[in-house]
Amino acid sequence: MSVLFPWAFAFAILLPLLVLLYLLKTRRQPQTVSTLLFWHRVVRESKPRAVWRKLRHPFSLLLQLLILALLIFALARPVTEHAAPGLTVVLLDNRARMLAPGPDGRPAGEEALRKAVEYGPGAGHPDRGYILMEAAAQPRVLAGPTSDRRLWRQTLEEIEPRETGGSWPEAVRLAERLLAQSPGEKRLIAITGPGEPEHRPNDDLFYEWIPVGETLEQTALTTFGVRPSLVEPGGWELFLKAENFGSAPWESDLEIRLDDRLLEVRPLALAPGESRSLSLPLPRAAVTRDKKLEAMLTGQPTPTVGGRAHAVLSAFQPLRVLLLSEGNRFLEHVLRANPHLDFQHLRPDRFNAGMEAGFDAVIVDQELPPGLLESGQAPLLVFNTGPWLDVEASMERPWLEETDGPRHPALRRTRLEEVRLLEGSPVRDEFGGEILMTSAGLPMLVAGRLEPTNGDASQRLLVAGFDPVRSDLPMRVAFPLFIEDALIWLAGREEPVATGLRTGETKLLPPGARVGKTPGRDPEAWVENVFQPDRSGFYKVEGWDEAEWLAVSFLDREEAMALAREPGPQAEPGTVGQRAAIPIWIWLAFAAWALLLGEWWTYHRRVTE
Amino acid sequence: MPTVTGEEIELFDAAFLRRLHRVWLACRRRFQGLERAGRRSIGSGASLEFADYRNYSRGDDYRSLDWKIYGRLGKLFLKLYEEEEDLPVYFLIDASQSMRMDDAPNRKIDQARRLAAALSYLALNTLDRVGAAYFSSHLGEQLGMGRSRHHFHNVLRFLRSVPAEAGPTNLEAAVSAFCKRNRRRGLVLLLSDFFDPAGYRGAFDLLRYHRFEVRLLQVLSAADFAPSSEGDCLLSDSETGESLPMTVNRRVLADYRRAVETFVEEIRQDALRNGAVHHLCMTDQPFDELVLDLVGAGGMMR
Repeated sequence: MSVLFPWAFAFAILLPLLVLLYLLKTRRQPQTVSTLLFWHRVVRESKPRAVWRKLRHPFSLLLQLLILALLIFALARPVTEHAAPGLTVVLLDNRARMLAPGPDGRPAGEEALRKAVEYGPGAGHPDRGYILMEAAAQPRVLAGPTSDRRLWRQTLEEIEPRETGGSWPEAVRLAERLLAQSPGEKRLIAITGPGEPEHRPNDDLFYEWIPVGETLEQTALTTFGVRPSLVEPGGWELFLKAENFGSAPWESDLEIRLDDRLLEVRPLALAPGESRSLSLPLPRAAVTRDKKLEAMLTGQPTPTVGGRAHAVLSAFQPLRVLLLSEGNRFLEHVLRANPHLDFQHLRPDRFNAGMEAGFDAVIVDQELPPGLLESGQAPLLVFNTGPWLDVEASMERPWLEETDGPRHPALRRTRLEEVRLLEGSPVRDEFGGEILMTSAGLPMLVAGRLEPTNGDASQRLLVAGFDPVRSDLPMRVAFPLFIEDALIWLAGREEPVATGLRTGETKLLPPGARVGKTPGRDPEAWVENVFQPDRSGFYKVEGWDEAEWLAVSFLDREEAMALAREPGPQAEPGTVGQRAAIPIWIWLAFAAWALLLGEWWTYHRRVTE
Repeated sequence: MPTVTGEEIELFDAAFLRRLHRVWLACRRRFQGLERAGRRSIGSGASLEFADYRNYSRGDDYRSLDWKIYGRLGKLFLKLYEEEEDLPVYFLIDASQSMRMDDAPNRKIDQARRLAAALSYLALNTLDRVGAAYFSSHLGEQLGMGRSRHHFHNVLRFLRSVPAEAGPTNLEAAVSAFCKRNRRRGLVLLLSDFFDPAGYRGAFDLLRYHRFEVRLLQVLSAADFAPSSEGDCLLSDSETGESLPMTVNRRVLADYRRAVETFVEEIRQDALRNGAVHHLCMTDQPFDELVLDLVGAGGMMR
């Protein structure tokens, strides 16, 4: 047996104090009575109880010492260990929700760090191994296995709060894989944000979750993008969407700044659960040198995260896109309006194999021309056609659901869950690939690879089992963004475009390029090769011809929703799994309480007659 | 008048005296036996009330011969008349330390003095002779007997002064001294808590031996039934100074109360067996109610 908090034994100094108090207390109170005649008679008659009377006080002292000892042991949190020391994974939630302030006004992340220290090395068997894991955009191991308390503390001190979302189930699964390799007792200590974690591990390991922090009323910007203006050459158009996830109405202002200069202020009132999309023109005259565009929700309560979004009005090498369609006004309009795209339209019956060569991506709308798959010289975005669809299983009014896991680049800035379809056909299972959207469990949007029969290199392929025209998607702000993101991914051009990155996204930097580690004009450190920002803002870029600034925004709807859970009773800490039996310290505390009650009942109870 | 020294408290103020008179009036209304000259001696006397005849014997007073009987029968008979006599009423008041617990005027001795004053007032109004004495370990100085209503002032003056000396109770020694001083039989009202380590029976038997009529007025306070709070105490006897460590709890207090009640009951039974009267007088009872109870219970005053 070992103890989690040995410092509790310092309270043993109270034991002699208790004895001293006992000695002081046993001084009898002098009292004068008329006569002792009857007292002597009482004493004579109660001789059988004399032994108990003599032992009464020492027994009381004994009880009190025992109670104090039990309390000290309970405070020390004794734990029994199995033969093997085992492994503990402390999974620290470091997503944006941990930025929510606690009752003391400090971020929940700070309390989470304190908890991580408590449950780290030293809290159990001395030979127990500890792994510190962080759940953020990508779950990762920060330290361990180690039993070095100093290293543990040092690692925790270096943890920075992250303004990112992330998949909790993925983090738990990684922890499970780590623990599966341990021969001894397996423990997973999850220190999470408010509310019970959305995913539990399997039952063969000891699992304890410790919620910290509080929920907030949260309003956030969930969509933000710019594109060159179709009306004014040199001007830009801004798209954004604000959502109120809280249960109270929210009124505030929306501020638009360009290079820290206030361009526009608009009042914005959102009912609970309401979302509002806005489109604002940015005149050419307003565009300045750095072209750093920022949208900001002000007012009370100010959103902790998600209240700001950033974009850079940067140049972009146009993508060459071929649209194979009998006629689709919406697609044609979107492609034509996007200055980042060099678009050509071709009817499918006029297509000849090999014509797709030289295009960065091909959009196939409703009809797949023969020979296209065989030549396979360009990535394809296919709408509602092709051999991948199970037409016989077509559905009326299917609803779209996004799958778990990290967001696919094609859905980087958009969510299609709210899109209403009139009909759709699921993508066949044998197609494989990564399922991005489903309906009733059947894949509706799948990203995969196209293997040409001529042996050429495979190409990217994105198959949608629905026709955009038979949906309200073209009416949404998300439509041009989705098309643009999908084409960028198909073309392998996941580079910062006008809207930049989202927090937690990974960006491979070109050789020689580097990005500031922190937002701002003069970063203290630089990042090369791989850039994964965890805070929103404008990052300085060097050695990169295409842009001087990189815009990073939060825009994480799920995380903003997590921050805005209904205020109310917070989830209690709990344990499940094999070691979920009542901890020893609770038994000790209960025994102390029972003894205390018995001692009071026997010695100190006063009865009013 | 005895010279009694000791603390003076204004126990018998005007209000007390007014209440006392009201008690007397109430007693008169309720109990006809309290009219004056209510007692007759067993022996013959010189009053005008005829009692009996007896044969003449040598030495008898010729003035008592009934000459009319002699004229009819030719024999000498002597006329006997009842003799009316007053009853000596003695108040023996316990002035030991146990009677002085608590604060004046709620002490047991204060209640005993109020009772003595009230009963002596009644006795003097029925032309009885009243005397009083304090006692503790021995008999103190005594108030001489008197029978007029004016004597009541002497009684009050005596009762106002409590002896300074408050030793332990020794009933037998005090009663023994009392019997030696007072040869004339009468009514003895013993006002005490009877907390005598040597017991009360010796004193009781001594009074009966000297043919005194005995009335036991046991004066107790509520504290005598529950003298201590719960907890660890070092109990000290107010009279002897003896100490007893004691852990008091509800059970012990219940045992103690039972012991006191048993003691009171023993005295009551003893008194009944021996033709005496016992009355428990609590200090928290108004004295006038007590007096009415005492008189109404019978046997306290004849």
